[in-house]
Amino acid sequence: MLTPDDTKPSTSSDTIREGNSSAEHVVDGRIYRLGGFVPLDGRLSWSAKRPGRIQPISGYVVQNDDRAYLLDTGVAAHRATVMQQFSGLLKKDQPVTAFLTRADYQCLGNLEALNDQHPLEELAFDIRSPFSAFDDVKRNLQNVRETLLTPGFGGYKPLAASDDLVVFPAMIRILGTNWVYSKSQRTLFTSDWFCHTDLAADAQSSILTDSAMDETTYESAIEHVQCKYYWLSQANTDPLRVWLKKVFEDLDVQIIAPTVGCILSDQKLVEKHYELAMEMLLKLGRKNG
Amino acid sequence: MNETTDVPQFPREISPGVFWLNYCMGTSPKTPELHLHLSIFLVIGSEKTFLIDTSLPTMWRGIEPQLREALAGRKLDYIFVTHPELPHSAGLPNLMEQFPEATLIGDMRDYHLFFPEYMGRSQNVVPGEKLSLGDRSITFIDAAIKDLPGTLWAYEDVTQTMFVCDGFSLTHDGDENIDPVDVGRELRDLEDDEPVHFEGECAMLTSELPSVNIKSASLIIERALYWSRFVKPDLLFGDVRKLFEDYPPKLIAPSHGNVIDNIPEIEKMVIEAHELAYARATEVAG
Repeated sequence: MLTPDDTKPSTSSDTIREGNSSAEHVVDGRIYRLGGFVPLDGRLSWSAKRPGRIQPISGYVVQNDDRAYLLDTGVAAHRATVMQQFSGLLKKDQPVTAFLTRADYQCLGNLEALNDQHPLEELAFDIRSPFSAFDDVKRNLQNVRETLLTPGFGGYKPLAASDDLVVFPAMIRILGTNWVYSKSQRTLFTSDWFCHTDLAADAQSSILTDSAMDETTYESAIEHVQCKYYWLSQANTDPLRVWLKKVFEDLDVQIIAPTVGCILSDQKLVEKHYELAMEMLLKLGRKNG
Repeated sequence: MNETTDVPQFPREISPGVFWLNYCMGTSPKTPELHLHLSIFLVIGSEKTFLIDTSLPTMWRGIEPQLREALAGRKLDYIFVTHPELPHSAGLPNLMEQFPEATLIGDMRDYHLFFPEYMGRSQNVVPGEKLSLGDRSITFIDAAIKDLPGTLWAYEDVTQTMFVCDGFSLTHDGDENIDPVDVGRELRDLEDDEPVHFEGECAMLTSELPSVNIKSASLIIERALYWSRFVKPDLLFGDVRKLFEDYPPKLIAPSHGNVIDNIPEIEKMVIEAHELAYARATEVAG
């Protein structure tokens, strides 16, 4: 039993790896990754412990004409890096629209800091559940215009005034979550799904561009998925597989860009991980619904 | 919150040394709206005090006076965050600032990324661990019903209170005949003087409520626990019953609902609400 005097604080680790000072180019001139890396040392609830391996945690900047779209902002522990990367991407006074795929610390950890550094013009949002606590998310964003996307499920909603980015609710999720799709870059931002990849600790890039770079196996993937999506093993996953299949039938996806894990930037990799995801959903789900 | 004194008020001492603090949030951006609890709880031990969850910064003005009143001059020793979802943890910076001697306690995985500044004031616990508050202790329990992984429940052994965060969610909407599909989902237009809930319901124990609206509860469960639409409740509540055998509760204290004192009756209703959520999703999926 712990006693009142047994209150030794946990020690903060120095093993969180900052990312590069410059944002990674996912698509040159159009899509950039913000963020750093975290070791899979057992201190994450959402991923398995895998000594010697790391995972990227990412936000993204999508350049669209004169406006930049900020999709998620990374975690607070990567703040210095994210701020440096962000400032390197923006022109002076460039208007920025921010959008969070989830109201979760993985996504909003640097929202206020980035706004302090380069005032956001607009915060677009779509989730109105009280559990998303939107009033609290925006409470320190002074003078930022709020744009509510078209409410309700079904269909793709333009991300504010963008003619390229569309938003739709994710059916595979824990909290209220949207995925975002760039039509011109055929890139799908999948928030907390397709987060089942990791990298060797000395990896320099979070982007996989070739199957030879990808060490993911079914076993390593499912180990990660079961950490966060613990409920899948008790669930009827048929509707989830039907939904995921439809997403990939409806959208031409060449790049998958999740909040956690590697960016999959190769058609064969996208196909491999889509099949992996479908297989995991099938095998994890209860056979009798 | 009502202004009269003949109905229960917050903070409410629901059992000796266990205080219920709450500032309800609405379920929609329109008004009037269904009330939804965002409760936190304070346990006063003979040596240490222990707060369960943090509420939201926008509710701090409502919560702080309740907390000060319940503490009655004692210092706050522990801030236990059940899980790092905003409604349960976003008030943490306020609390850490207001109570500089307090220790953040819980499953501290992820917090080094979310709140690195508090790691020097934190204490990690794992399911099964006990924390002494002097004359009583808290046992940390792997949550049987949760959204985020790593969620912990807490069991206080003297009053046998089980703190279940997102489990056992209920609304208090005063009239069991209100159709929550209209209220919660379609944001119906009510007349200005139509009550959304009756006076004093916010701070009532479930045995004191005029009724519990199972349909409303099912909508809240769907929202708080998205997966509930895919998981049959019998699987879930089997785990809950096993847990209650090891830690028999006299009170169940949820974050999103009235404190439950008539447990068998309400447990049955909550299961029914989960079944409704599951059935509705099955129906939609065809």
